[in-house]
Amino acid sequence: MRRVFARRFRHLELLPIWLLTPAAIVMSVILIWPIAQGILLGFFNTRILNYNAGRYIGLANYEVLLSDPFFWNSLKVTVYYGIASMGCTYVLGLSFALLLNRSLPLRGIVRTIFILPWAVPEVVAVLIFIWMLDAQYGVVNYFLVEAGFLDAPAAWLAQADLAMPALVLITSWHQFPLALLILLAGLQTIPREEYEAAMVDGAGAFSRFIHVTLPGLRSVNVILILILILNSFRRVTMIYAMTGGGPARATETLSILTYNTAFTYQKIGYAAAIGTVLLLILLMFSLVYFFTIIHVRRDA
Amino acid sequence: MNPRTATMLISAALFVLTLACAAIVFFPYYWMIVSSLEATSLFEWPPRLVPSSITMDAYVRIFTERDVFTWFKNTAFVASTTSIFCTLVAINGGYALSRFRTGSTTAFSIFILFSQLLPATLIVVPLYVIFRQTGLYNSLIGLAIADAAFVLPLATWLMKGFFDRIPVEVEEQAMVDGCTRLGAFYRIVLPLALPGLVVVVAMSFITGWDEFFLARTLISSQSNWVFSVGLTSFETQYAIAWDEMMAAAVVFALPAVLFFLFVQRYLVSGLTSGAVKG
Repeated sequence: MRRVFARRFRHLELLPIWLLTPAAIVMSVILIWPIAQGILLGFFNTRILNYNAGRYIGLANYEVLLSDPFFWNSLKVTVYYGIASMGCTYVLGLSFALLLNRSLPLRGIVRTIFILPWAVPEVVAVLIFIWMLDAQYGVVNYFLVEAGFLDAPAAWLAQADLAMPALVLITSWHQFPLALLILLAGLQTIPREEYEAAMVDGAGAFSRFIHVTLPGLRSVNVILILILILNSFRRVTMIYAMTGGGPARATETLSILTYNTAFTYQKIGYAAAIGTVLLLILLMFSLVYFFTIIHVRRDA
Repeated sequence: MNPRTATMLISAALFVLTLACAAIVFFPYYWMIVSSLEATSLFEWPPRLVPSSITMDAYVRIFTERDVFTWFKNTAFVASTTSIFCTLVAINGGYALSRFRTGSTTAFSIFILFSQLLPATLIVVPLYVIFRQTGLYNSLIGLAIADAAFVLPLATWLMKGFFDRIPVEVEEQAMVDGCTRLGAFYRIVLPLALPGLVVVVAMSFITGWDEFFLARTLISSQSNWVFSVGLTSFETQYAIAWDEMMAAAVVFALPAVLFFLFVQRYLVSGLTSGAVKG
């Protein structure tokens, strides 16, 4: 009897390990092992062509990095892009969530139209916008000139000061459905009674939004804002397909700088050091973010 | 004006505003389709918002003069392999996370969270070297394995959520009736989790279908190009054939959009439930 129990107990302990093994192997080989290699490579002067000739150079890559203007430029671009695209995505998502969070005719169809941008592959989204933003024949320039915002068509993707706004536009068009859906789910958890109580107290629509809606979305906001920032810090496909980091490095985030350093300039060791700094930034940011949130919550 | 008319007017105004926003959001889609069908030259100013006449020429040309068939075939292969491989692995992992509370499952959950922080570029640089050394470079199977690994954390997490909704009593009953634990899982629980399984299959298929960055880095020869990589090749030529490019974009986007619409409701509830519970 006792042996049967012991066997069953051991069996139950081993089963989750067996079930997790395939996933653990795949993730170790494709995610963990390269990350470990990447961190290690940061201490080598490896180049892509003579991979095995790379020598250990200690912290030399990091010393170069600290005085590399392109690195500091990328850091600035990353923060700018992260905050701008998060802000635009969030505002679009929240506005549309508020519009959809009421009884509407054709609600199902309208909701589907609002999440369609998310369904299109990133590369396709980028190509549509490159065409729409075309300097000579682009329809966006046509609208802006007709409406009087621009005197003449602008070369959105060729001008350093316009490329980032264009990139933020594409990012928020493609990503706002995620914010919309999460915020819509959040809005639906706010009890109707709270709105009714506010109305009895004579609160107008704006006041209800400030005092009922925003506090009700608080826990959703915490997660959503983190997701949006982390995603934009890690985003590659969209930026790479659209500008490759240009013009004049105006859209070269740390992710793109890592990629370009490795595959265009062929310095994998140095690229790995940049990527490791990005990883550290992501880690630090998440930790600080969560500690601040927990701290603020305790105070409240 | 009495309050009821005022409320109705506000509702009507908001409805019109909603439709206007929907129109703006939909415009890039409209422009892609219109540009692919426009019969006369796209290079005109001002641009024609409604096409003067429509033709399927661009679609015929991309299938006859470009390698669209090859791209389509390669992409379909990569996406299906990614989907099958990822789902098989995610089912088992998701079940373990849903039903057991041990050191290994906790560690794995933490790792899933951590994996959402990893910058893809830092992974890809050494992965490129590893793939070159192991012969997985420039192979569609290798690309599918890499794609599957990148979706796996999310797929496992979604699968766990779907298993969580099935009561444990179902397996207990099956085990009382003589099933083994594993038998109860594969024969009883898995069929019940079929809707969730479909979502994970579709989600990993869409990810494999859309993927660009890994394909751009890990595939070299033109005969192995997937659609996303082929599509950007229109761009590098002297004059961009925008009608052909938009036609190819429609052909490429269509399966992804259809799959997405098919599963969106379930995918969304899986993705948002975690965030909303917070």
